[in-house]
Amino acid sequence: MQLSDDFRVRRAGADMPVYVHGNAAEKVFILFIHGGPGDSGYENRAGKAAAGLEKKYAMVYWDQRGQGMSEGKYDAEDITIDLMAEDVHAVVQTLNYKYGNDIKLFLLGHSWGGTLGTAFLLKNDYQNEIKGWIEVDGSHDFPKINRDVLKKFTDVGNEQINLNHHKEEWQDLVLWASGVDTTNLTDEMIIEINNKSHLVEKYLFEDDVLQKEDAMTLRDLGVFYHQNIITRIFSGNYTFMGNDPFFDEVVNNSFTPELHKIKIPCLFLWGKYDFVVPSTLGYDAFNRVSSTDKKMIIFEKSGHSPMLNQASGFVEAVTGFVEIHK
Amino acid sequence: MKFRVLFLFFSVLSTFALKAQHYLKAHQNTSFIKPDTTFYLSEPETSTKNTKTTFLNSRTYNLSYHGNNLVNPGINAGISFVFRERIKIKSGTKKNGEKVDRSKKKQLIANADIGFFWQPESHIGAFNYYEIRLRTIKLKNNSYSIIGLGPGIYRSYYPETFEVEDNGNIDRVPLGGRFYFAPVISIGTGKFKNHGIFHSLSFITNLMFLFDYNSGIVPLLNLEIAFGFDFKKQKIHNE
Repeated sequence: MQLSDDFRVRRAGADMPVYVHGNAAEKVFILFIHGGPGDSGYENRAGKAAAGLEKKYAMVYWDQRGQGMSEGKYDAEDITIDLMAEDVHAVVQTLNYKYGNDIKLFLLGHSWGGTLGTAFLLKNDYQNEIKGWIEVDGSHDFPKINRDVLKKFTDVGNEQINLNHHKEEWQDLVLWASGVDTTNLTDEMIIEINNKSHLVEKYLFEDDVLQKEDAMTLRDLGVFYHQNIITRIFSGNYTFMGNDPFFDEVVNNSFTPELHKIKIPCLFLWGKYDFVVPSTLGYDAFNRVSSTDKKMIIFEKSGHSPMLNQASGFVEAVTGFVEIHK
Repeated sequence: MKFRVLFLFFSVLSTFALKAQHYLKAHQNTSFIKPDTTFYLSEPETSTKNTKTTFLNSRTYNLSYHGNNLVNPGINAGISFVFRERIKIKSGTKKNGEKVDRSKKKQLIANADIGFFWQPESHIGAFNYYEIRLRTIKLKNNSYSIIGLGPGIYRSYYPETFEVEDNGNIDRVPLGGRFYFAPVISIGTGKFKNHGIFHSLSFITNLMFLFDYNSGIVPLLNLEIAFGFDFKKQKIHNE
């Protein structure tokens, strides 16, 4: 049974679009929690990984509150991680309402989606409504990200300097990283670290350290056609970068002390060269969750988004996990 | 903050309308365009004329392709009424003997539009706005430019919508969507056809600002390709 549905979930002043595409024959649904904050869920339908997963499962793309094509009316100060974790629950409830309580639901959180997914799993007994948790380059501890990224700039930087890859750029970066006081990071410094983390992926692409993303297809163009880029940029900015209380909550958030409460099957997928959320975060989460069934896979030629760099390996990893736990 | 933005918007709107009126009044007997002594061999002949029109004799209609972000398709229908116009006749002769006509007509137009567009897999946006437009017509070739400003409303219509309450109850929401206050700024260009029902063709870019969209203000960029109709088949400049 092929699904191609779109509907809205209204909760606490937000009207959030949910798009369901793919094969629902086995009633397996994978809810994709997108990154950002400030990005869009539906955009993640682009690429070979999403297309590959839709052949086997019903993929659920959801635009979070104040992001993508979400509409609503509320005060920016009211946006919190906890409020958004309840939004995830509202989407889960609606999927059960619409497609039946017998659906087998998995969560897949990428980047910031890893934070939000973790917040959802730690709240009440919500994790029991889910068959399994797939975290892709996600973060459960933002202060740790910044410390680890600076160390990774130095480690990988020296390695790339020895290989004569973008030597001057890496030398500048290593020098800059060595001078950053990690005990007293300002918001501006956090943004600069994040910008440089994205920038180095460009160097690594050019030096063939990372596998190049597949060329855009007509299907991908169709995905982007369904998004209003102007709305998405403005709305996302109000939600996160221009929203100081929420920004501060996110960049100071740590779920590290609570990770042991997660007991459901977990799969951690990380790009070896992810500087945005380094793989040390993945290993940390893997070691701390109490799940008896957990697995960590590192993609050797990927950065922050292995589903784009190594799509076929990504599909294989997700499918392997889902087939065991569905 | 929101009240300040609204106050600012209406201040700009009213100032725009008043300035336009004052400008036309103050320049009743003066030249719009300074004579260009190097351009003309002879001193250009200039004259101005202000006219008031009635709603019935200056009413025109338009039907447009309304493309949100150019590609999200929609339709827009409107009615325009020229409530004040000023004609400035200016002509001269170049050194080579060629006749030059720089005559212009400036019109203040009350414009109302209603329409909708479709954002695939997301929503249908319906809108209704009212503008004061300033249209400057070059009488030589009947081309014109438009700038306009005015208030409007916008309503989004979603597909199937479910409302989830804190107690876990889920209800379907009929005709889910949201209303927004949606002021509009338009800028465009076009050309008149001098006779017949088909009156003009315009290309208009408009920015519609949606208040309060989530926790802020979001602009919608639209392109209108407007076909104007005049069922009285009036000539554009036969004064």
